[in-house]
Amino acid sequence: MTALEVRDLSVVYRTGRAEMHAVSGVNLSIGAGRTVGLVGESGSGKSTVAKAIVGLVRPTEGTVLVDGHQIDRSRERLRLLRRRVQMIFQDPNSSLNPRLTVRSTLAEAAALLPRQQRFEVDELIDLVSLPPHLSERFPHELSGGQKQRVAIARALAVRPAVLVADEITASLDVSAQASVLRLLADLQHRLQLSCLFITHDLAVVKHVAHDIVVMRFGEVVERGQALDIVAEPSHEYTKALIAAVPRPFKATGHEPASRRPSMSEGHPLGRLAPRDAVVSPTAPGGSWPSPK
Amino acid sequence: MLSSLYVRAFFKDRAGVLALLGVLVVVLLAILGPIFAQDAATRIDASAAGGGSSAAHWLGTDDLGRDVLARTIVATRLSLLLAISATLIAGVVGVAWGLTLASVQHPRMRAVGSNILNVVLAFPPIIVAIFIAVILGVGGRSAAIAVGVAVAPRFARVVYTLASSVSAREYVHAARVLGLSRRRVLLRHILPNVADTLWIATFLEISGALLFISALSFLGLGVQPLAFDWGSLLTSGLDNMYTTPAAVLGPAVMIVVTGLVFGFLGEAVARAGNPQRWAVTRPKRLSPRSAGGAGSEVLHEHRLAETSANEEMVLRVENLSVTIPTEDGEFCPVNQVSFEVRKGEVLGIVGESGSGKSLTAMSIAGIAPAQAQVVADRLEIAGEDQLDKPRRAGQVAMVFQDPMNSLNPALRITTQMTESLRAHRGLTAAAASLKALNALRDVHLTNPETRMRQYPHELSGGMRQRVSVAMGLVMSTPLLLADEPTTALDVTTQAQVISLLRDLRAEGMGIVIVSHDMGVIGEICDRVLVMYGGRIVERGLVEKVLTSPQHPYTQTLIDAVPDIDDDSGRWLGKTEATS
Repeated sequence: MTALEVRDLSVVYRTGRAEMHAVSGVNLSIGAGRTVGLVGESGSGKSTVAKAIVGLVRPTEGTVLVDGHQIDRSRERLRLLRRRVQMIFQDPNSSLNPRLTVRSTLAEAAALLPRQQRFEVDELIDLVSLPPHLSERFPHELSGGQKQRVAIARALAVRPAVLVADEITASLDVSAQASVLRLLADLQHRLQLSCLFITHDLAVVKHVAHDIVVMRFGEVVERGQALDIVAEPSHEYTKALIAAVPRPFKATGHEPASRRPSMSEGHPLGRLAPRDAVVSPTAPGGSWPSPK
Repeated sequence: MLSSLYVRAFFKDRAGVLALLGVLVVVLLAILGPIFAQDAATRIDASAAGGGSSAAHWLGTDDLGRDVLARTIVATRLSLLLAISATLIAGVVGVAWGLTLASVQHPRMRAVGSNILNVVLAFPPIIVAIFIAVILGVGGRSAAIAVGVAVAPRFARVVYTLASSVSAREYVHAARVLGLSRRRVLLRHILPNVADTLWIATFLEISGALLFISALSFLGLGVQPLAFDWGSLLTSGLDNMYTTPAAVLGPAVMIVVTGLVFGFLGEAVARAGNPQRWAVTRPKRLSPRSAGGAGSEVLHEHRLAETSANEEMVLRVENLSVTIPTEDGEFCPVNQVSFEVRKGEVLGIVGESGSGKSLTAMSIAGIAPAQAQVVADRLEIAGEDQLDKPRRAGQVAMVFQDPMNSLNPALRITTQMTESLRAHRGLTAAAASLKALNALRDVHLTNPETRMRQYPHELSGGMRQRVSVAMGLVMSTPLLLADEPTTALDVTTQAQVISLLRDLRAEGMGIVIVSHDMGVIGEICDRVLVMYGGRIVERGLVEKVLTSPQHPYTQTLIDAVPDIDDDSGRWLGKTEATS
């Protein structure tokens, strides 16, 4: 089943007489529980696609369908439908209201649901594996990774079907990035969430997404399964993007490729279980935890 | 609980407490003045008329022999009431106006509204106030309304500008995506975050309103005789300023002092209202998170290739420490760090935020924050001791993370590139720009002649980063310090900057790259230091450190890096990557 579908989306920004085609004729669809990676560099229009999906930008043309229903700004009853798609933003320093504690931020979002479906704040905090004592903290007292967890919890508070994650780890340290991404993968699995994962980092998206869509200058230049695209890109631009990714494990180029160690064979790190204690493992095919 | 934090933060602020005391004195005068001094202020004594200051009348008397000091004190109540009500009117009207305008989504409607506001602002408030006061009729009340309405656009402008910038923040977007009502977004997410400036504006406006109302009284449009405020006292005192100067002094000093104490109180209230200042109630995290397990204190040193003692060292650092005094004692973000960089070598310093890596680089460049105390047993660049030099001009070039912030947006590229040459090398403008041009060619910038005449905003991120590197080259410094030089760049641009740094290495420059990005470090560095909690926990050739890390922290760090060539799908624990 398709959780989110974007048909022929175009966004044109007008400043004075000038027109800027930020997005031209983009089509996307994300199945339930699937992750689509939207890849591109700055100016490719990937963030504009995200904003159009969640309604922060009005599409010039095209439609966005959630659970098969068209989202139309003008109709109030579709507010509920709109809520099915939530967004997580790039900058952890700007994505939380600095005047509200973690608890107030989450409580505000949770209160949007009818009482029977409502999450307790503590449940949400537990859902994103935050230590409970952080609930009375203000955003500036949290680390970048913790802030992004709060942002994820806030998005989950309204029980969305689709998460739009716009460069959510771009400003995090590598270890924070890995733990936030593991959390996201785990939540997706448990809650059968669909995810549009926007990033410029192909190394990350390869591990996160099932499918990849590559954008350049507002247009989709290539799409396909993640592993296929990274292994055999067909578009020149995708090839350039992949070639530009630094390969730390292939060392500095002083060594011939044959001697380069790889992550999967004989590498000391290969033995370490990648999934750490941050995320509690749960049975596959799980669903939303039932409200109290 | 929040309010007690708020109160505590307020009383920790000495300036705020003093301002509060000042305001209390003024308010007490306003309350008690008319009760105790009304009689002295209105008693007509023809024999003392027009007298100067004396033991009986400290500030002298007016034309009718009334005591000016008593009148000044009594006038406090009326002056303050009028000024505060005018400010309240202005605040309520202005905040509503500004917020309404900021919440208009349609771009054209918003432009129209903002232009109307600009036109209104173009009229000086005092003219508008006179106009309104004439329409409403003379008197204290209409003066207050007139000033309130006249000043309201200033509030609207401040609120509109601040609210517009806050509404572009991601938490406001998030609130809208959640589907919170527009009113709730305005009142809970936007208004509190503009409150800092609004408080200051409000309290400062009280003193402004005091002046405007006094001016209206001066013109005869404000407070009418029999009633009197500081403005009308000032006016009547002005007639006899040369004979009894003290009569002007009283109301003038009161207007100034009242304005000041309200202004200071406004600032203090704004400061205390910011939760970031409440953090003092929680202990600051001084010790780093534990790296996990034993051995975290040990430096893992990989055996290096033979180093000959006479090899040319570009940078030599021995036992560099940085301490920052805090309320809870000394904080040591960089602890006993030693390393060296050879000519034509790239050294990577890896670590996460808080590891002290950036501070290490900044200390070497001599640009550590003022409160940081930098000590070292040895700090040499190209064999020259740098410890006693306050500035390292000509020795170190620095490239920063964000090329937009590290170039001055108001200056052309040529000006920025040549200024250090002219200042430190004494070159003429022509010679300096020739050198700059060559440096831009060296960093492979296209059309260097054209670029020289452009401003930073006309260049792309990659071009700006090339310019920052070129600014280092132009001084032909032996050492280049690059702090996260590629973090803000797209991958393709990042690859260009990396290859540029490789070229520089080939030309014999010593380069230090500070980064949390293992990918970049692995691509370009010869040797790498891993920093954690202000110490070097592991060091060695980059291949060794990346492929057989010894320290558990290095291991977690490397484990956290996604490898694009890894097809096992294990990084995120995904078992069926293509399912």
